[in-house]
Amino acid sequence: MIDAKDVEKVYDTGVVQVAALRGVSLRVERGESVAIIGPSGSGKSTLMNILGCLDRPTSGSYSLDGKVVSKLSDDELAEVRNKKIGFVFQTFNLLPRATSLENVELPLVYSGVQSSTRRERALAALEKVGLAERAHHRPNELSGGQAQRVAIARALVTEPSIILADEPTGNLDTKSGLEIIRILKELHEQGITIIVVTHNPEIAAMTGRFVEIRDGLIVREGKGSDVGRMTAREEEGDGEVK
Amino acid sequence: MTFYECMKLALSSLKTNKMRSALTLLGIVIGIASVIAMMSIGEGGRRLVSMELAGLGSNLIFVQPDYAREAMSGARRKSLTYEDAQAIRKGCPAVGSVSVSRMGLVTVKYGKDRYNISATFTDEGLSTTHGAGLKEGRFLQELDIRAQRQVAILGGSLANKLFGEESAIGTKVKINGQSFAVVGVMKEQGRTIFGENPSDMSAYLPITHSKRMTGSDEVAFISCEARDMKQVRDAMDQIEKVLAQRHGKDASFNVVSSASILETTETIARIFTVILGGIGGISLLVGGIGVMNIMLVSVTERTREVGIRKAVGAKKADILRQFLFEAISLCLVGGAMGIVLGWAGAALIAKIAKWPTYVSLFSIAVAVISASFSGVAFGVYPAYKAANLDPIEALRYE
Ligand SMILES: Nc1ncnc2c1ncn2[C@@H]1O[C@H](COP(=O)(O)OP(=O)(O)O)[C@@H](O)[C@H]1O
Ligand SMILES: [Mg+2]
Repeated sequence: MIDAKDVEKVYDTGVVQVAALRGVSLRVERGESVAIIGPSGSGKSTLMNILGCLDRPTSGSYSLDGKVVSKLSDDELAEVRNKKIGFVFQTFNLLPRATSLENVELPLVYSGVQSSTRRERALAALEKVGLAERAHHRPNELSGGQAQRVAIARALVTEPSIILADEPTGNLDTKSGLEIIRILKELHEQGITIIVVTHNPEIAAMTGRFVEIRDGLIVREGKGSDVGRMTAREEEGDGEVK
Repeated sequence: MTFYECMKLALSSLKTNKMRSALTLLGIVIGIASVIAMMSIGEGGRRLVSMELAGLGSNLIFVQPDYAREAMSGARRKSLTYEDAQAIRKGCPAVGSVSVSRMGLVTVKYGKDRYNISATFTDEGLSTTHGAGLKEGRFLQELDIRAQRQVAILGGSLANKLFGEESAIGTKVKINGQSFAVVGVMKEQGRTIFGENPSDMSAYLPITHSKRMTGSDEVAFISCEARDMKQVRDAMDQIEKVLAQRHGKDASFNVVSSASILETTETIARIFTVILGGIGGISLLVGGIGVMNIMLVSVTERTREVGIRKAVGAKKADILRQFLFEAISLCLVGGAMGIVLGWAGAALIAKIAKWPTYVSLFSIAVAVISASFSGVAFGVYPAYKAANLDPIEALRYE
């Protein structure tokens, strides 16, 4: 369902041009779970943003569910993000002045769901991540782990077929991180396609497949269960992978 | 999002920064209030002038020398006199009544009281123009004029000053040293917006005395009244014919009806109102720039919020609408408060400056329209900026 071919992304900062992706091809089938690993600055987030339709590749093509999305207009991309994709960020990205419930409702606001239905569905999503009783709290009244669970509820409230998580546990302690992983795993078991960027070999090992990126290129792919062993070996070697 | 939800969102955003919103609001409030108050001054003036002109009656016709044309062509002045008035009376069947007057400074003496006043030299037409104004006695009659009788009618407060509570009728006063019998006293007119009504301190004398007492019998204008509204046109034609007979074909006189004067005055007064409104509009402009300034700050501060909204599927139009609604609600709330404040201001001006301000429906419509227009005009650029933020850049913004 995800089919990226020779995707390149060049950031033009005005002074220098940064090639963040230099020809990445990636296919992900419906129901898969994929971990993207690699050192910091290697282009993982850039790839995730393109897969999540937040950004367009400079060249190459990207099609989602058989539809080429790399050439869509800003508004068409917004609609794809709204309907098909749930995005979970490292920094949660919740609206600070809105309650958990209002944050979870937000995607439904933009898909034109009526306010009473919106409320029901947002509450159901919060229940799925075990935060129904925090529905009326604001982000600054939540722990990091709870905030990320609200963000996951927001990602799944539209019932998307894909959830993209860019270092979802990066800002969390181990215990809250594990809770997030448990929820993502549950969602995967319910049939949602999951792509997760992580530095954590344990998380990568739980996915079906891992893809390693370095300097904007895919340098290695393999079964998720192999990742721990391989990175462990690597760390012994040059210690570059965190 | 429904309209109601948009409004709720806009108001809740404005509430998070109460002080700032209030100050921005103040700019709009003052702007709208000054539009309302300034226009009320213009409109009040227009109504007053119109009312006074309308009070004269709509079948009046004024005759005066065409000063402008005389000045330009250098032709010898044609002067209007009492004789012209008499000729119009006799030769114009469509004219019901004619009144003619000339002002002149005279000294009135009674006992040891002595007043320098501006007297009105006039004829029997006074009874038609000031019909309801007589307090006691009688008006001037045709015979008074023709026979140059030494009779006078005194203005209300002049009579009061000279005679107090006693009746003045039949008493003799000295005007410029000659003895005049008081035959009538006018009612007091009371104060006007310009102070004491000058006619209260005046005296009405037969116009045939004017040459001797003021050195000339020339009159500034003759005012005529057509028999009825339908005969105004006929009356004007007849007057022009009579004047041509008396002064020659190329005689230059202006013959205008009160209806056309009223029209011209109204037009001028309307322009005046618009200019005043425009002056008020300048402060609205300043207020509007304040709104734009604050909206630009708000967009910058909320870049991340825009990024989040876009990431979950907000389209450009959604973001545009959100920020535009904020600007418009600021301006509409400010506009509503401004109307109230402007209204209060107009009342205050009326009280303190004694100017008859009038808040018209039109000026309120202007205020509402310009408030919503400035909301759109000054909100659209910041909203457009927000709508076109790149989601990734917006999310990275610190
Ligand atoms: N908006 C941007 N402008 C310029 N350079 C960028 C931008 N975003 C990312 N980059 C650069 O692209 C490269 C890849 O970044 P990123 O995808 O965020 O890496 P990762 O997520 O793997 O740490 C880095 O060198 C980064 O500096
Ligand atoms: Mg990253």
